[in-house]
Amino acid sequence: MVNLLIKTIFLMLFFVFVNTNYYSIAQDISIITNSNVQDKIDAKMIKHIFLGKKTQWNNYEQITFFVCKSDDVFDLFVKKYIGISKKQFKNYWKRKVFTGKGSMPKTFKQIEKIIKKVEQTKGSIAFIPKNDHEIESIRIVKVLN
Amino acid sequence: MNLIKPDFKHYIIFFAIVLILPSSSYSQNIQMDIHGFISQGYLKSDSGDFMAKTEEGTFDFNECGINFISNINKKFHLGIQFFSRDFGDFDNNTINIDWAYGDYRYRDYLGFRIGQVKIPYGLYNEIRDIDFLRTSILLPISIYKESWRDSLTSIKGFGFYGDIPLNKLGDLSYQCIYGQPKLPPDGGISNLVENYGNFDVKEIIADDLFAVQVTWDTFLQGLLLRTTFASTTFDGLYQSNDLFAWGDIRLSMDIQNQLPGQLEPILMSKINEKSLSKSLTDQYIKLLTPDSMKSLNSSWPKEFSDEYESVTFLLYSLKYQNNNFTLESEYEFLRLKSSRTLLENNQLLHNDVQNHIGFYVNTSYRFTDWLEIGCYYSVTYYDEDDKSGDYFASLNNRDSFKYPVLLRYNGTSQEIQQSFKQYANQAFSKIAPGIQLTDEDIKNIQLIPNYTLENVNFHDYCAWLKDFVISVRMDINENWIVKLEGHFMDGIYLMDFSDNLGNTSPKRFLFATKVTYSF
Repeated sequence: MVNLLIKTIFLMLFFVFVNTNYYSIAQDISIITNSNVQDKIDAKMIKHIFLGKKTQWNNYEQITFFVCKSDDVFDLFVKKYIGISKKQFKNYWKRKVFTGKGSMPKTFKQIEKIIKKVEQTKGSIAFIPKNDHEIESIRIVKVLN
Repeated sequence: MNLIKPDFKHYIIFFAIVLILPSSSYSQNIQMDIHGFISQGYLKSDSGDFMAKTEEGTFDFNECGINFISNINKKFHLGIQFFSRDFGDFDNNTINIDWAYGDYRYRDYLGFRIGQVKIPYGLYNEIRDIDFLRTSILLPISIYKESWRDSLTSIKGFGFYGDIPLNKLGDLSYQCIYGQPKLPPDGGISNLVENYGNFDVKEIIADDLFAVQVTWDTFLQGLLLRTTFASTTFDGLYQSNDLFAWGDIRLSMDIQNQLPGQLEPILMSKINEKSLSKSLTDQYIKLLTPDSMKSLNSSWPKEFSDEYESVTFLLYSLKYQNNNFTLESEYEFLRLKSSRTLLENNQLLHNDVQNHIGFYVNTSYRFTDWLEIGCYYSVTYYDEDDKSGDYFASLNNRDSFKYPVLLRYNGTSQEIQQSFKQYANQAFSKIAPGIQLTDEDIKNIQLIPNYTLENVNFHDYCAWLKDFVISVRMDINENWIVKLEGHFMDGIYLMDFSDNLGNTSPKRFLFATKVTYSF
């Protein structure tokens, strides 16, 4: 039985290496905030925000975050900034919901809707597909590595 | 489904606020979320029952829950979760409040909770009922004992928590809670006491429980380390049962109550002096009876009290997650310091410390969006210092557990016959020379047990439970999950080993399957 366990572990480790993807911090996702957010934002801060560990900006204004439901962008975002899969991210928040520690993040499929929400919500932050053009009334964040 | 328990009443107001407030004109901006789940499972073992009638196959294995969370403002939310489960004889679909509390997040490093709060313990205690959040159906029993679930999931009290970034070292988070746990007299912990202590539990009361958990999300991507400490005390009031012979207690009781009526007439027939006969009889019985058992009356059952003056849990957890691969391991020390008293004569029967240990290693891998496979190996021991089960193996040879009872009583009667004859003749040589007891005089001295016992066999494997498990999880879609699981078990610790008169095979296979819907 112990041999079986060891063989199972090695088989799984093999799949780990076969399936590991490595992402560089490329600019294919844009992080946007409400225009009143002036904090410097780094990658770790983004991770903390989207895991509910950072809930206030430096001026103690509450942070609201929105999730883009579009599969490719969502997938890319969680892998790059949080280091987990989309499913693990959802399970993380389900765990919070079913222990009473939080609510499921607000999600939107349409980019325009996310932009509008960020524009209307003070202290908010979200991610969208990379956008090099300036959008009035929101701030496209340059993420510090 | 049973009625809602009375102790739920005081949450009616809380529940009303959660439901009514969002619909009032004052609260039009307050969001309320509703989530829930329902699952139904099936269990089948090839030998012996596991927690339920699994040898026949059973569907007495389901759970459902629904929660309501209202975000009053960005810092404060209220929530409540109702939960019902059935697992063999446990809970039987009684609706309970799983948790219900207000949560105020003052800062990232400090938040407060008050109400019925989940106990943070290890990686899974807070979500042990939410099986769609893990690969396996049953959690490793070495740490997450199903029979203890009703007592170790939540407390009524308060807690505080926070997240502290450590820059390049990672992140730290913590939780502390303090309050009153539940310890139902017909719950899992009572059942365990009954299985291992030869009692029927009349009452069991827990004092407050304190728990603290510290989690270090390390600087190594995906690696998390966690430590949990919990401490409580509890007292129990028990009643003896006829499952075992109760060691020397019952025999001493019968000696003191049956022998005088037999020995005095024998002496009277020789020396014809009532007071002297009684005095010699009383002295002889005192010599036979241990000091701790003197003057026990003939009533049965007897009452005992247990004081668990220290129950401490220490758990170390490790989790590594990399894309689709997860590796987890936990190691638990459980220390119980207790004393037991026979209430009739306030006699301290024992005062000792037990150290239980348990650990497991778990791996899982998500192959596709719909398929995840995992396996774990879990081990737990009754006594850290007796992993080979020598104590349980030795019980069959003890006089206290000899079967049938009449055999022990007959043997003791014969010993008493000879020792009484010797004692009386020594006394007679001083006070009544020339008078002797003969074998004919003492041949009818007999202790009679007024009870019979089942012949329960004890084994070394009563001291451990090892479990190798393979699980398959299939996500049909966002809401539906189907799981299949096989358990290869060795040992019967934590099970009622008197089931099947102790003849449950040490090695067993348990099959489990479950379907869950969540929203």
